[in-house]
Amino acid sequence: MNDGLDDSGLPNPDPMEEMRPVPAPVKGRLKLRVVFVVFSLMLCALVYRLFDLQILSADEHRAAGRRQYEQKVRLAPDRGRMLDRNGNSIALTISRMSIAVDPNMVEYPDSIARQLSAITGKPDSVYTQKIQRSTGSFVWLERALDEVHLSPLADMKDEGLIRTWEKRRTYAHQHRAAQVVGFTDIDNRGVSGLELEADTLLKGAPGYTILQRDGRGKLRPTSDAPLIQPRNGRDIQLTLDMSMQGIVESELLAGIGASGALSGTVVALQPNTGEILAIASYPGFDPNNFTEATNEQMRNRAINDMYEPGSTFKTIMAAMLLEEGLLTPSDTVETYGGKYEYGDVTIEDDHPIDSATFRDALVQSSNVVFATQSQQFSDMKFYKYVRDFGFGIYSGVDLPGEVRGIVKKPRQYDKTTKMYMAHGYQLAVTALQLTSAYAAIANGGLVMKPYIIKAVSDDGDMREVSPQQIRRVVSKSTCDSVTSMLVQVVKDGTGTMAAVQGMHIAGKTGTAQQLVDGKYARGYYTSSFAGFFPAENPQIAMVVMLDRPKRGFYGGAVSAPIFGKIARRLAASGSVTIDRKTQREESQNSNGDSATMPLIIGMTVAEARENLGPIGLRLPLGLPEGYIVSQKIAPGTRLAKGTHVTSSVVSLSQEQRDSVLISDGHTTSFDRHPDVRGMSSRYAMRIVHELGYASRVVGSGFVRRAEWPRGTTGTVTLYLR
Amino acid sequence: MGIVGGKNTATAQVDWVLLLSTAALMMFGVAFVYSASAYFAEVRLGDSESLAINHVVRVVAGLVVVFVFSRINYRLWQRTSIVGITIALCLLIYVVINGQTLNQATRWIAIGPIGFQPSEFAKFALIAYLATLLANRQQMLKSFREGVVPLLSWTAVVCVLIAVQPDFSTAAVIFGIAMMLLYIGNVRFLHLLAIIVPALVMAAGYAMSAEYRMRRLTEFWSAEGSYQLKQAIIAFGNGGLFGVGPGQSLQRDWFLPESYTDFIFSIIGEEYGFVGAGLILFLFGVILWRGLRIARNAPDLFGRFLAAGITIVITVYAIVNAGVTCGLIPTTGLPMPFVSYGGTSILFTAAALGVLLNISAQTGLFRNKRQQSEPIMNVSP
Repeated sequence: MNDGLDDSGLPNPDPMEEMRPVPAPVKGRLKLRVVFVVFSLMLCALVYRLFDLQILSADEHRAAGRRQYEQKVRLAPDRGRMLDRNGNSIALTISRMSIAVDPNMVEYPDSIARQLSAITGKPDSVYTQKIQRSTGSFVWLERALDEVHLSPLADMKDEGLIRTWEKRRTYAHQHRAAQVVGFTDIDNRGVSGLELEADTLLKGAPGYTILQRDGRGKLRPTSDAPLIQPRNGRDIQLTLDMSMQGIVESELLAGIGASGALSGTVVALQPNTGEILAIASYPGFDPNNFTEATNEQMRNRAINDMYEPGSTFKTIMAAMLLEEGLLTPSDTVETYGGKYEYGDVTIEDDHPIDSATFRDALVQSSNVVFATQSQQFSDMKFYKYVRDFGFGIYSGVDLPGEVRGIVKKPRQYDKTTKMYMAHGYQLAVTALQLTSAYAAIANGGLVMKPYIIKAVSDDGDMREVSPQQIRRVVSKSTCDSVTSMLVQVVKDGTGTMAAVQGMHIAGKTGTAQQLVDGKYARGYYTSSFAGFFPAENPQIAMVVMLDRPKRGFYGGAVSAPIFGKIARRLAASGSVTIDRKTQREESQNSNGDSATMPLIIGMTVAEARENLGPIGLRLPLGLPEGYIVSQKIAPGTRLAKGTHVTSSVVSLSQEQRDSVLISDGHTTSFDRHPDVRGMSSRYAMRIVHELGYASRVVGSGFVRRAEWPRGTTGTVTLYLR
Repeated sequence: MGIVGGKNTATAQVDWVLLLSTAALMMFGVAFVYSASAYFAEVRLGDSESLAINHVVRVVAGLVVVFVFSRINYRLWQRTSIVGITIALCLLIYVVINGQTLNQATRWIAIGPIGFQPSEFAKFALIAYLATLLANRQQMLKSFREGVVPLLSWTAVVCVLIAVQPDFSTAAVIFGIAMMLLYIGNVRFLHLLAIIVPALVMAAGYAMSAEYRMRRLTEFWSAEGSYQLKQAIIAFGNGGLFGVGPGQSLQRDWFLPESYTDFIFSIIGEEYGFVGAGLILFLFGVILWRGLRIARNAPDLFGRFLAAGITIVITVYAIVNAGVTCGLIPTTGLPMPFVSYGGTSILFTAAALGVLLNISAQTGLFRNKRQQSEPIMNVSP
């Protein structure tokens, strides 16, 4: 402080006289100076602190600020497409619009609600209530809408209407090949199926850019921001043929509906390459709607499940016996009268045969013959053949979750192991392994690695994946012999229901009792049919496998017809080329006066006539056009030729047929009452009337529940909703 | 505006340096408040200028108040300080009771459309009353019981009433100011220690008794710091030497909400840089210098103590506010005098400044008088 005055003292000794001014003394100035110095130092400290914050360490704080103004924005790559072998899209990424509103700003909530309702079919009130009830400034109304670009919403002007584009994976074929294709999660990451297995190919690499947040929190691009473009995922082309897949799935569905099986699977391979042409698994799901799918529906039963194959395995045995020169097809074999006892083990044939050639034994599927013949092999040799056909080892298919099945090692064998394995027990295989083994026989003994990714895009070019030979397991001549035996199985053995006019089919039935609580149980079967066609020039090897069919259990009765129908439709569609000569051969092989009633549920009337005609059975005349929904004579029943087979027919579209056959197919006894739940009252009544019942309808809408009378006539009450 | 000192003289002049410094602070304050409040006002009130206009109205009113109080002989406050402290206590008690019935922290009283914090008034009332007591009882200060205890009692009552509002930081700051005033007022250093040490212990206990107070403290001592502090420091960093320019702050609207009140200093630092923020501190330094000079040259002890008290209040508030925004002091809710958008606080501070100016205007008068009169004897302690 500047020099002051050398004045003052304490002028007023009388403290009680308050009103008189007290002149300030000199003493006490030092204290003011102390205060001045202390506060000045504090101000200096503040200035230094500012200097530090604003000059010395400013960059550090600025960087912290930039971090909060700048936001790294991920630029999502387009996920690669999945195409079928003909270039049809299976899975693709589509930008879809999501609609949200700011309830405080929205100007025309009623109009928005009306437009959304027009797209989704939900009532307006759903949206108006969402808007009204929201307390925040943002509420989603609908996400990832499909056809919004056609709606007035797309260019509606409303301050509070928020439209965002989101990339969503879309599956063009819905249910078709769903377990193979799999699906992605909301962030477009592969979760199951090929979406998972080929995720690294499909996903690509994201790019990014930096957006600047201004003082008001809005993000906007800056001119000098780095922009790293995303690298889109690769397209992959599958070996699948989606039209073939469609045929396979539709016939599997129909076959499951008709037989009441719990589940089923079909695999079709191209024998000379190992390409998987179709792979179906029921029950299925729609990957566009994967949140509603159950684990049961998502399982790819062709590779994730294993079964005891039963008699279809005899084909492998036959190939082994022929390859080793232990038998020829025409050798006579001992049949033991259809019953062979070995220690305390008894092997029996369902349909005992007397004296027979080896060929007959396969055609008639004799357990006894194969069990006894298997004893000619050493354990090691037997095991090696089974392994070389691809059983008990991973096929290496490019799909997730493959199981390798169970094949005992020689040291685990007891005296009866080979006897059981020879007719398809005490080992577990996947449908794919079985198909691959049949494909090897169709391919002249060369085992090919099954695969499903046919080509991968690389800068616009499609790079083909080459087929891969695994090993030669048997010779070409062995395969030719086996094929001719398998053709006979279909011609006049257990597999006649797989027969297709004008085409030779090589195949083998299989009916395996399932282990239930450790015992082979009656009533629980795996019914399968494995084969390939055309026999002269095999283009497709295929296995049909049904789990626990209820109406007819023989593979020949429930799986063979599915196989046959698929083969016929493939031939008709041109997917399989047939030798003209064979086509002309008429193979009428229903000997004698009797015929076996086939399963005709699910067929059209025309198909049923076509199936019944050759074996000498007839449908009554004057049936309406449509699908057969019930048959009075159980499949497998022996009938005199010329019998008229009464059946109920209902006109339905194929989709409706499938839904009648499938909806809850494994719990209703369809041969008595079809499941009409979920159908419109009109169709339900038509079915009910066709079956000879009267109907009573309660309510309106779709059928929720149906009450059937006890007898075969009476009134069915349909409760609608 | 020509402010002329007490009516006793026509020649004595107010301290122009002090007046111009504070006027400059108030003018800057208007600019800062406008820039810091525009977005908030636009969003919340629909008019970007509404808060700034409020502030301008208060600044103009403040200048009027400065003028009026500079015309009132400061010795009036010596006579009336007992009334002032009584009113202040009544208001504080009213706020505490009112707050308890409402079951929430209340620091405000509304009189018609004007709301104000009694603590704003109480701190000046307490200073005036302490200055009165100190000036009148210099002889008794040697005795702790007779001299110091009354001073301490008034201070304690005011601080406790503010602390239980609860406004602990204001109470602590006022207590500290009072202690400094007692020091200047010749209370023995030993006696001051005897007050301050137990007070610190009590304060520590009180701070730990409420969770939010503890949280503020632990936040401050932790490396992270509070959210507001982090944002304030980013603002300073953005500012650099010359600042990002008026109205260009990135921090104020989104990251430092309501920065026009207690965190305005950081926005000054951002928009006007080290130069701008340093200038503000410099102006407060000038106020400190001129204020203590007025105290030193005051015509009497009451004038000295009152001038020192007012100067200390203004400077301490400025230092605490700036210290909080720079992260040197734990977060408290004190405004920056003359600058913050602070409702009535600016009016009370303006009144105090007017008083200070009046004291400064009488300096010359006293000097003239004294030169004419007989020498005043020195007193040794």
